[in-house]
Amino acid sequence: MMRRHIEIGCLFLLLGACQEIKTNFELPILGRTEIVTKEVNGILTKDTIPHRIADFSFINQDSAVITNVSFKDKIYVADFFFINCPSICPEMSKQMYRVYEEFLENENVGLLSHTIDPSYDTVAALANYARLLGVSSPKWEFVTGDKDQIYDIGETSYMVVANEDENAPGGFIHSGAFLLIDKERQVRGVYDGTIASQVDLLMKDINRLLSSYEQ
Amino acid sequence: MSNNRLFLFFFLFLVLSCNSYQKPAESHLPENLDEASKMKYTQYLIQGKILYNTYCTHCHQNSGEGFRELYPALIGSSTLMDSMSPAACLIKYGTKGSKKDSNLNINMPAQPELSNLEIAEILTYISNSWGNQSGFISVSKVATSLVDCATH
Repeated sequence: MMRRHIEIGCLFLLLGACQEIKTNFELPILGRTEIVTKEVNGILTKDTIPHRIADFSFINQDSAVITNVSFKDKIYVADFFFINCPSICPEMSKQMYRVYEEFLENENVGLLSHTIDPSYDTVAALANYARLLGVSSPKWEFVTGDKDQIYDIGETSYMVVANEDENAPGGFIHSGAFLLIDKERQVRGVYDGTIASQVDLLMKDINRLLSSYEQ
Repeated sequence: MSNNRLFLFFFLFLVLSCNSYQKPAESHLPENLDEASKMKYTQYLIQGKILYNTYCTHCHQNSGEGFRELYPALIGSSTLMDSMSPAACLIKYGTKGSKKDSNLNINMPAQPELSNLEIAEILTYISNSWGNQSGFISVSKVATSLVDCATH
């Protein structure tokens, strides 16, 4: 009987130790890797291409062109929202604002909010939104652009839902996800931008990702 | 066993029935009310809180504090306290139904499905909570307020 207890105790100790190690794990690289076959020196070889955020070009709240190059050498958090969103966006903005404040002084971190309602959310409307929120570029870019391009990058690059839907509140269906993107344009984390504890985790992961570049 | 269960039910019933007459802790209830008005007032506060949590809390936040300049605070709000009419119109028709130039602010969405009673309950709750004290807002007051929303 006693022995049994010791065994169980050891098991818990081991599990505890695993937990200890787990806090230092490297963030996963998310998305489907593509395997392509190509010919090198006459020999067919297979090559794996990791999932990366595609090239993009949008206009921000100051009418400046924002592309993937604008986030070169930065890790960034991306999300999809629209100004007249009655449901989850107010909470998303509130949570993203926490990230903004936390990393305000760190120029290696950027924020990128795409509107999914570009016909209403013009440059002027986004500028006004940023002003009312009290934030500015380049730390937090609010971008608008070609609607199809925005939906397309949302679905294929960031792997989130963003589309028009007349049955959804406000006329759009979209995910409240925050995506953590590294300097190699890879998705390293997905967080629910409407839940404070998930955003706490995001901020921890940002620090973890930042420190991985320092080594 | 069955006695215990009966007791439990009775206890639960007591707790629940007590709760239904308990005004929300953040709300103010005037003292010099007769029993009937006090009960009605309390019901409006309770129902108003439930509706507030469904329709308003996303933007104006749990304690009416608002968020940044995007979502105005309801605590001490002059739009709310000075006269109930614009507030009733805002809840029902949003900023698009208002004549006031709202280009500088983001739009408040309309909630046309809310009944006059529901609007009265929301108004009673928000104008008597978190330090606000504007008194009871009746259904008939809301009905009159909504007549000429376009002029606000």
